[in-house]
Amino acid sequence: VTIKYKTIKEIKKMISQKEISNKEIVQEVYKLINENSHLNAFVTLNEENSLKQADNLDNNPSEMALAGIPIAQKDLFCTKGLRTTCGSKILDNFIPPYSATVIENLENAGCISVGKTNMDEFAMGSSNETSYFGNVHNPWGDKLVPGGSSGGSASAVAAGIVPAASGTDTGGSIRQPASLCGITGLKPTYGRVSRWGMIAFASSLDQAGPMARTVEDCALLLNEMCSHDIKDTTSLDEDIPNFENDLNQSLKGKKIGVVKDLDLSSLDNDVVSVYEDSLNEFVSLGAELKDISLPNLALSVPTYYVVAPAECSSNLSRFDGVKFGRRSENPKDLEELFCRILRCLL
Amino acid sequence: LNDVDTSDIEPLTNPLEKTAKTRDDQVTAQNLKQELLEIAPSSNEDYFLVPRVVE
Repeated sequence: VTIKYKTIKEIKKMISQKEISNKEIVQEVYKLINENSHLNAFVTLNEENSLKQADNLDNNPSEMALAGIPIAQKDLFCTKGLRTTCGSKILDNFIPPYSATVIENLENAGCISVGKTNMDEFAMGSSNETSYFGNVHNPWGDKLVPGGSSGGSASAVAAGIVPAASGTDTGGSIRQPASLCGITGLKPTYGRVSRWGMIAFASSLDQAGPMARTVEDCALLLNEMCSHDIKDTTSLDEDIPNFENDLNQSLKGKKIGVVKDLDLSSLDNDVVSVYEDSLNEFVSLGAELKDISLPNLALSVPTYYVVAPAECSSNLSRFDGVKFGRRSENPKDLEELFCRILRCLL
Repeated sequence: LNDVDTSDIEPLTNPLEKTAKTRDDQVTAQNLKQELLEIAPSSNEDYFLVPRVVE
């Protein structure tokens, strides 16, 4: 019996049919983390607490949606009492006094946060080569990057260490590593998931979301991650649908727009054929393809590079070495304190 | 970007296009003063400490 490469749904079934205990699941997760240490997917482990939680669940079985499911949390979410670095040396000693709402929501659904996953420093990167804690590797090949910034989460799920992980996405940081590692991830609609306790990059774009092996597991996770949170003024106060309900709806009669402005000529042939296969798959499932044009598409990246750096310049000013995190040693004055911290970022 | 004609485009002030909501002015969070001062690089019982600013 193993949980390697298993989905949340499969592990839930294994638990309910008593094929495996909660403690055995957690023990196997740490064994798999050790066997895959070359991936460098984890920054901090939560072993003692996780084993304790699993023991409790074995003694008092629970019907909660994610009871006993081991989940890796991106090291961008504050986790109470568990080191949170955001991939930076500045925060390598930061133990948050509270947890992000997303973490609370997932843990209130019974999941076990087994560890914090490596990421590009402050979520700025698309290859996981900018972390203070070293590069993350893609389990599909030594010379492949996992994508980023949620590369540790994507790598851990793709390697079958955990069935799912949390991620965050500002300009592709869930979707791109999920794609590069061959798993499923999505960026929810802005406002669906509370940003409270997430270390901010570009606040008007940041959104947390699920990363898992299947769409079904992503729906299950999203059900628990979403909430209206008065601590985040941009949190949506709208009914939250059950995302699992429509999963098996037919695609018959649905129209899917195919963007004609995309230049596929710079892509690998393999990637183009996967893209074309997916279009054929949608047609075989009954959907209708319709060519559409997005004439302003070429403006999206330049616009992103105005909005994101402006917002992150403001957000990162909190890492000044005054209230938390690292402070440069023996600064002679306040200016030197700020300047040395900034140099640490470069 | 400078070449794009945006004269007919309304400025976007909120990604949700919803106005900020108000709520009752009630205490909802516990005071974490002690916990927050403890994780600071330098602090005393009441304040964060920084190098001397005024000579």
